Amino acid sequence: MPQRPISPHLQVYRLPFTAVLSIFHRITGALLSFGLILLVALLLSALLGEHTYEWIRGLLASIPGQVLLWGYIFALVFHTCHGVRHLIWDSLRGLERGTLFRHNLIELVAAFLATALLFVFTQGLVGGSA
Amino acid sequence: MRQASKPEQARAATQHWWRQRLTALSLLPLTIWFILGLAQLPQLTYSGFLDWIRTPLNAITLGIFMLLGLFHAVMGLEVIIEDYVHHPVLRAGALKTIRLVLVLTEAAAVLSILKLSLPDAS
Repeated sequence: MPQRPISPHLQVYRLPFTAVLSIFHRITGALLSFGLILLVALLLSALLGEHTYEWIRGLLASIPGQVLLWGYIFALVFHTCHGVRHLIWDSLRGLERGTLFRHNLIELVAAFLATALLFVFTQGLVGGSA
Repeated sequence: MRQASKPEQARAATQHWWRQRLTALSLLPLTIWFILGLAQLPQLTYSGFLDWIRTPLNAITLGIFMLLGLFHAVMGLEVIIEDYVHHPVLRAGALKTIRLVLVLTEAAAVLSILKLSLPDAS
């Protein structure tokens, strides 16, 4: 198909914040999907015995491993919080402009707070992370 | 390649819509459970992990989470593929590939959970 020129759109339009959250929902969804497949691979590797398990655990305890793990957890928490809004919208509620604005804030605060609390809570359980 | 008729497409789309919402709803409590577990995983030793997965309730919940989660994930990926892959053959190929990945990953998840939780099964 011939490539016809189109006007700039994303480069020039300032997206409403709801739209920004929406694309993040999609991005986290895609990343979480691949992460989930990786987690299944991790599960499979547990079958290979304690040595493999401890090796992976060591990777997870490293700085990049922790960044990856908590990045994944935040993505999952965010995706869930925004997903709840989709379910609310599916019941045809919360579509008014004021409500959208309020829910944007609530959703973000909830996602950050939940992840932060979980981080503090789990690190406090066993005297700091490995 | 045969094109689906409009009624077939409508039916498939509605089904996709409902399945996405129903899995999402079921996944709400399961995801909270999973996140709590995942956050604590690094502190779990191998024997601790085995004890955990040999508790039937944990193994079953993990299995259900994996099956519903993978299904929900692939449905989402299908929508992404449909949105961004414009070439008809590439799109069809990508969709078939992701569905194949789904089946293989689900099989791997179920088999590994079974093998880990039932050590006497050979």
